[in-house]
Amino acid sequence: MLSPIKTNIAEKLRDKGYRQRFFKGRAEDEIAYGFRHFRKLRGLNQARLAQITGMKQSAISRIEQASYSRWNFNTLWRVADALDVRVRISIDDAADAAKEYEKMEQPQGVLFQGGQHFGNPGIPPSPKPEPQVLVIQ
Amino acid sequence: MPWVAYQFAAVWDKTYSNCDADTQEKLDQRLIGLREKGNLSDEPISKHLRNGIFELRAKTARMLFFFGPNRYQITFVNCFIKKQRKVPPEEIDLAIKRRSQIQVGMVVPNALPN
Repeated sequence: MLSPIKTNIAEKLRDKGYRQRFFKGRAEDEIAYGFRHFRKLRGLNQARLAQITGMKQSAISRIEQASYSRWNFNTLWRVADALDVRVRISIDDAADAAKEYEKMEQPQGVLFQGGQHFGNPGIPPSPKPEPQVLVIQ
Repeated sequence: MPWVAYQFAAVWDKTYSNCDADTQEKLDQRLIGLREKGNLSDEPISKHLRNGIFELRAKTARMLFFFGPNRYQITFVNCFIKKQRKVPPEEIDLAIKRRSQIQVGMVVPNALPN
């Protein structure tokens, strides 16, 4: 049997400690994902990117690890320059972010099964194309 | 956020409830990231294992999924707490088997999305 996964994220975000950890974790994931994504897109391996930036390969590897967040902005700019990407920082009110996630929890589309439609025959909205920028939340 | 996440026979819920609080929080973060990025997702959020089966990692939890059965859907088919660094091949095989069951329509939904 298939059932939707409910994270109750909007409710959890009401807790200040939880939302601080959540936002930090998401930002760390985004940085690691963004740099790795563009490095691969540019056809570079970590060693080559390290050479271009004048950093060690191990430093590049650390930046691409979500668990590492002791980088500084100068380091991020160096890597961003080498990859020719824009680092965009967005600072939002926590309440607005919580609303955004609340919206996400609302019914979205319908579960199709074996070619048969179940429930509301609406279709999920098309995803936006992947932005070609690195967003730090 | 167009991607919607489903689970086979409550596999996500069962594993999630057996995780410690830190792992549950990380799972929340990674699932949101996966739903935002969909099939453009990559490490550290998800990783391709074999034959279209991916894993979502969060500390000790390993949640295996595929993109489908229809557009903008993510379906978790096998979830477990890791005992070793590498995902055992039999766990991937089980995920593939369940995906096949879903794709041929042998598995029916037990709940509509809200």
